[in-house]
Amino acid sequence: MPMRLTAVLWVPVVLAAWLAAAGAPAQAQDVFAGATTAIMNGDHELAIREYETFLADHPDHRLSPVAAMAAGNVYQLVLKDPERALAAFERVLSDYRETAWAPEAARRKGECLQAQEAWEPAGEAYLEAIELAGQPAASPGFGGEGEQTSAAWINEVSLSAADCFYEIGDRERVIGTYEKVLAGALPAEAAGTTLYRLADCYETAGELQQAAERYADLIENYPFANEFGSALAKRELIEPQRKLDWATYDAFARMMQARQQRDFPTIIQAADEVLAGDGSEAARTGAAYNKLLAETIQEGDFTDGIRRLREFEGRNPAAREIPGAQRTMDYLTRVADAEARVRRSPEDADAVRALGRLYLQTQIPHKAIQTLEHAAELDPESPETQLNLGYAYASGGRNADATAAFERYLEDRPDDTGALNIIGYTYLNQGEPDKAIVYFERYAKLAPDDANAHDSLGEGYLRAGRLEDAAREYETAIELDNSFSNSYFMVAGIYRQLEQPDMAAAAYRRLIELTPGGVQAEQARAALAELEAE
Amino acid sequence: MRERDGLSRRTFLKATATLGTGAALAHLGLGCSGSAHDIVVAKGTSPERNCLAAVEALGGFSRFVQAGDVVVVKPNPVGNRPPEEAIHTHPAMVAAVVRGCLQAGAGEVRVISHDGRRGMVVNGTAAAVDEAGGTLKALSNHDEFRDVVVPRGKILRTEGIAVDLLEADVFINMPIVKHHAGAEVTLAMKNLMGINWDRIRFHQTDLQQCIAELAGAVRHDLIIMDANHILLTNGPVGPGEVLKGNQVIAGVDPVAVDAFAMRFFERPPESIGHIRIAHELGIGEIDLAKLRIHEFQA
Repeated sequence: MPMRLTAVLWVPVVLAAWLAAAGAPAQAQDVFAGATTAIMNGDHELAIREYETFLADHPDHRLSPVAAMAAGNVYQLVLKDPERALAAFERVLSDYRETAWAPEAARRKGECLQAQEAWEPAGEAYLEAIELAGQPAASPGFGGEGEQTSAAWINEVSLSAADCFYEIGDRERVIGTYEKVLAGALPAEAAGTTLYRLADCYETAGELQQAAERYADLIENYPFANEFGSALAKRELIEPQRKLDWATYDAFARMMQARQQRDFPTIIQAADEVLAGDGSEAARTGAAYNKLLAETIQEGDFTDGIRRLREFEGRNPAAREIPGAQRTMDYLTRVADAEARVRRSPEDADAVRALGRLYLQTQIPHKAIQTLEHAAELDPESPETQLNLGYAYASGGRNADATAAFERYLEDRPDDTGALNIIGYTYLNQGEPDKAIVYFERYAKLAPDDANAHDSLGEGYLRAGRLEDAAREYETAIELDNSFSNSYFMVAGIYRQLEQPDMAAAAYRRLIELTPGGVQAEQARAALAELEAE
Repeated sequence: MRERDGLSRRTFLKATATLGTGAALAHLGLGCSGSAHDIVVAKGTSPERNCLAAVEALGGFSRFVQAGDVVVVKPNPVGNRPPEEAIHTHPAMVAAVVRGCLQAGAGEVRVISHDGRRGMVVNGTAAAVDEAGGTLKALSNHDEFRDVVVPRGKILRTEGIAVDLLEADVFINMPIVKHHAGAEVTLAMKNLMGINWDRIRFHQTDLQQCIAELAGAVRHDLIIMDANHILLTNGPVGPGEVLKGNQVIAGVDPVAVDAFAMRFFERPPESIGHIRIAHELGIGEIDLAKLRIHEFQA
């Protein structure tokens, strides 16, 4: 065979090899992109064909379980075909059981069966999901705040399983489900919830001793669980069965409440009570950790605080399991690093200002003020320092100092609409709406198309009792941005005062549509109910 | 949504199998994605010039936009600070893209965001878009979103996606590189929060997982990332430490573009949950060694 011809014949072979080696992964990505496009275009059957073809061509590719799950999701959620969805999820469970997709596939299988009212197999599928999730090789596989999500996931799936067994009147299996979940290695949050449900289940069935034991277990072992307070409220039920140091656990609950309110002296005081009491090891660890944290923030020495917290974690590894501990540690480390930078370069105004800003973000106004005042001494010309100082004074309740600092900033940056807005609100906080209006009007003049400018000006007028002017400004804000939820809320209140209930109701309804889960929406629903009752 | 290049890469591979090797080799010479590069990085002090040079290096606007196309552009619209504070996508870049698409024959270029008009009005994006001939659309009504299945979702099942995007011929994502207190960074995939209706759920469940899953529900045609000024700390709204990156990064793979941008934070891409998960979901390539990266002075 002539050499040239041989070479030509080799080309397809080489190309095929190249495509096999380099093409498959790229092809996988293209399959998913093609399927996504098909779904966006509403052609779900085409998307399914893409997934199926890929699975047939590359059953062992790392993305094959993803394709199988994706097909199942389309069958289940769009095509509403539980039979084919079931088959897709079962394929994941049989062919890709060792992957992170298996627990979710089992859960979806349970959902498909539940939709067909096949309660028992559905419950078993959910149990299988929980079992698979407990295996290290096939954890639920979430990547971000994984622990938190895993806890939520386990809670949801166990509840689904229990619901299925409840449907067929199998109370033993409902309890068995919770017991089985508890026997696994659960995140503390999920364990607390499951224990509470189990206890509640026993209590409802009149098995009070069992119920009391579970509530007491929750209190002793999972004091950070959301259900801790509810379990404490079962004191009358628990007392005849288990001896607990109630004063200690009440102090723990007080400490947690103070933590939410950032009331550091109360945190420290309550933590001391827990440490002096006869509580569980989990409660003592939690109290000691929170006391250290509160002392660090209260004293404002993050360098020493982070050292003490790390030492504590070294001695008490369980402290790392406290919800939010890692994130707190990361943040405190940032502040400690900024403190170290200032120690190295105490005359570096930028470093001092950056530290002051971190204290401000950590809501330690006295340290923020002290640090930013020092930054202002180092660099009296810095407008940024004056701006931050203004915020620090305002958060420390020193409104007059705050407005003075904002004024100094505005001398240098008279057109900064953000600063005009904040100084206006600071005057409002001082009960001086007329002064606030001066700044809000400047803001609105500089940025007439900015809905927020009119919203702020509306608030200024409202606080000055100029209702019609306020309503006009809020309406302008809405005209500029029909998603500006605060303006709807405020103008609705004004219309109520002006005795225009229809206008008020319309504004409340729009607000609820925009932010259905918000605090204002909750108030709007209550106001709407009142309006309808009038 | 039209298929990229009018012919998906997979379709191309199938087609070449029947057309024979000659056609395949000819196409390979051009590169399967229509460009010799997976990521291009245009460097210089002008954000607009960087932006245009980056798109040019990927094949120009005409590679992505055909006559009469409806193009949807999604910048990061947050904030009322100057561009030098690196809070939002530089308005000059957004305007340049609007003009580029229109010059390539686009019938309409819509700049969308769920964040309301306010930010884009104050930071100058609205005026820039208007001047360039585009349309600014702040999405604020539920009926402007349509539920779409999230095929690779574990947490997300269906998600309300902007109808404008679903019905567009071309989608261009224009993020800025920023630190983000919740997601650690906000790059291309995080910038998709704004094309969907319910963002609160993301924060209530697992933000990293949700961002990745959402990225798997949307097809990118082009990503043009503003790295002219980079907010390294105190994001997403600052003020924080700003690095003068003086560059624009562009590509078609959101995972690859995001992975590349992690160089500014001196962290491996795998350390960011949503980038790692998106790669695991087959959304794109995280391994920079496998990518053809072209860096040049604009």
